[in-house]
Amino acid sequence: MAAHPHLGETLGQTEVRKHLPETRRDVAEWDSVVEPSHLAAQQASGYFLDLWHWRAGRSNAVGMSDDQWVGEHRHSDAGRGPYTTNWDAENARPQWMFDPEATERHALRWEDITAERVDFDGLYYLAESFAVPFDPDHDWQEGDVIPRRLLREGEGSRGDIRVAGDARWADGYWDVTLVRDLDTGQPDDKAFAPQGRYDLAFAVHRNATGSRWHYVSLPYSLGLGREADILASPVTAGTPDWSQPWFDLTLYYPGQVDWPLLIGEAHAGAGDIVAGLPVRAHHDEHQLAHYGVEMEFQDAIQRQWALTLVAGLLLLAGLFIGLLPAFRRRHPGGTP
Amino acid sequence: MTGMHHMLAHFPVAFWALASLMILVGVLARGRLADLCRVALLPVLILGILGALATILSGYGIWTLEALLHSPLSRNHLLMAFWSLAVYLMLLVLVWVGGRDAFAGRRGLALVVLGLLGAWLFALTGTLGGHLTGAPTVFSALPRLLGWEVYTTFYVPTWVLGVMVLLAIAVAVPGFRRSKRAPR
Repeated sequence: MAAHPHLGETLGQTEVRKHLPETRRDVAEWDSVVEPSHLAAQQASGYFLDLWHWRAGRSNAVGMSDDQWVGEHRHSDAGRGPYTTNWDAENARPQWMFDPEATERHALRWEDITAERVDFDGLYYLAESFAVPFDPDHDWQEGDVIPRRLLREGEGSRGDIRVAGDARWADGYWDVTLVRDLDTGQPDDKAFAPQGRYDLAFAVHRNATGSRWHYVSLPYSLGLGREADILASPVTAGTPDWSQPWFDLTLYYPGQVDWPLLIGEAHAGAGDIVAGLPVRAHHDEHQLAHYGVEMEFQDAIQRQWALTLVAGLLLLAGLFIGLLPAFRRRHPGGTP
Repeated sequence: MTGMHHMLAHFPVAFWALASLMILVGVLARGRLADLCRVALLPVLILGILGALATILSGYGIWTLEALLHSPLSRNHLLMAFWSLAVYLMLLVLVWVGGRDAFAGRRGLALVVLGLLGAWLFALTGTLGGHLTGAPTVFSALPRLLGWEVYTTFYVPTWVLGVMVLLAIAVAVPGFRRSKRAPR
């Protein structure tokens, strides 16, 4: 990966991330990235996903969401993100700590965190506004904890999305409202317009899971004043009162299923995908949730299934051999 | 080939459903209708098996073998189809070999049990086929009530496999011995 001329040498990436199929000459080959000029043209023409990446830990506390886009790779939008990594690699220590004058502490305490004595009303994060450079000469104690992320105000296109009000976790649910201009004028954002209809999908990482261990939704359409799965209506002034009916959607764990598999020989619906048939025509979330888990153990399940099939046939064969002598006809002639 | 498979599947479904019904009537009832059932069962079973073979062969033309083995639903469909075929093949041979005596006493009871088992298995096969074509029926609720989610691959733990093989041997050995002792 690091040696790849575009992903490694130009983007400085070390792992293959989400990407769109047509950013590859061969969709099954992650390294067959099309020419940079082709990628630029794809983005300019709108061939990219706009990824609103709200994180409870890395941006919510400062009222921000991260803003990213997916083309040949998962990129951050241009500008400054709502967090940075609080680590001084050269000296192998944090870069920042709590400002003791502003917060009356140098660090959090591990026992407070594990005992869940931190909450939304207290300090559970480190933000630029109350951080000072790390003091290695402070009398640090076992159990002192400094957050790995330093939160800050996002800037530029990456700072387009904000949290409206206070996003809070209560009774097992996050209540989050994100706001962004319909049209930011940025090339790495999708613009919305009245009467527009857009495809969108949701993903949720629960229980501090990262990477692929997350839940996803099927695609939904969003209509701005236009018929769609989710109908958006304009807010003329102030903030919405959210009195309209909820739109419930089901999330599921998709397993390790990638695009080459879906359009390959192993997927019976590959032809439907090529024909542009939506996933909902053949699958629902309930079914895909089971399939996702089965994909994790595909080889083992297939083997056990084959053994079960054979064992069942053996049992029936044994039963047949056992029954046959009793059926040998005692009276000549066919069936009565 | 999908349409052909759907069309052909009607034959084993119809003949096997009829065969199971004829077994019930032939074993449990008396009179003209029961006599007719006993007489006509063998050709119905033969037609059912022929229809099933044609249906299974046509099924392999719908998707690649790799695709068939990759989907939990199609794996289940295959498993139930082969088990159904095995049950009705067994019924065919037993009725053929047993002649008019096949319906009497414990032999008749064995036919009834196998007939009901076969009906359950081919009903599941058809239901799974409906799921595969995007036309599921409420019949799926029944296996779910019994604890099997049809969207998950049907398989048993390894120790159950062992029990199944031991059971197969346990029921086959006495029959094999009796077959060897029986006068030719």
